[in-house]
Amino acid sequence: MKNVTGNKWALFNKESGLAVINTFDVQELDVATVSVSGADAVSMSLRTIQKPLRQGDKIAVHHSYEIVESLPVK
Amino acid sequence: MECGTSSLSLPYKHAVEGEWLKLCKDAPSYANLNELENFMETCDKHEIVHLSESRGMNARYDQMRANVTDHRILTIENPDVKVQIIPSLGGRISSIIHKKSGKDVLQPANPETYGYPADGGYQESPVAIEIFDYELKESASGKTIVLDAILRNRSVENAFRYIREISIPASGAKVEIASTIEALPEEEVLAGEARPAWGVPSASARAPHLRSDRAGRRSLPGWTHRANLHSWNFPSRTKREGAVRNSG
Repeated sequence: MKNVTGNKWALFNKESGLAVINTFDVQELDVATVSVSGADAVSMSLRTIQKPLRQGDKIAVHHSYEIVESLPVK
Repeated sequence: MECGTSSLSLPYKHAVEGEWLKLCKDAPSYANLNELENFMETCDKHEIVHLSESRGMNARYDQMRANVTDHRILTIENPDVKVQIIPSLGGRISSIIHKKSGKDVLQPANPETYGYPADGGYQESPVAIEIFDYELKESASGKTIVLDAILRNRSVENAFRYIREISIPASGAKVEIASTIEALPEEEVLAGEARPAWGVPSASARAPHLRSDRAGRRSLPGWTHRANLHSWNFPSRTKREGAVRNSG
């Protein structure tokens, strides 16, 4: 079952004053996650649907990351 | 022979020198490709078929090869962003630098981690530490690095082609990524996963869902720990001979 309903999210870093906006194609994805790994990093994951491929079949995924100076986070 | 998988796999610190990520000089003398090849030949001689549990020879070989060799760093940049890519570490994006602030938004590689130097930054699964061919394309609209490799999934017979295009516009702090997995055998079960690790102190990080799409009326249920992705585990394989030929 497809779990991804949005096509964009952002990660704000209050210390650096930067944000990263991640945009993706919802049709290409199954699951999108954010996880905290240790004290100094946050990981995102965009996972496609797992499926059997015959010879020549393809899975494609397109996404972008835009760095912006962030607004204060409340 | 002094070295084995444990000593060849122990992470040896690398440092950036110009366009290279170089093995530091204080690494032990056996940390080199010749010793690694000697070790692999010895394994062949004794008919050893697994260097790590159920993962055959090539996954650990790739890790050891990455650990004891230098790696070329490719750079594409515009007035707003600088992106560095390492084709011989699975095409990993090692840094994305916002020029105005001077900040690298990606998490740096940590020499204390098991997978180092293939650590931190941006990576995709089922790619691991394999060597990619690369090509730089430039146009008026921007620059693109095209990474291309034939990878092995579980066995030499189960191969797939992996192409990743990393692009920046002529201006603007933006990186676009397009990846394609193409099955080469008769049938293969695959999925792709993009995994950027951001250098953000967790206490200050927030990742709100931008509800800009028509269907985005509820939070993403996928906001869970990566443990939910444990079902996704395709150890990749690069043909060892190819890795040696293209090393460096």
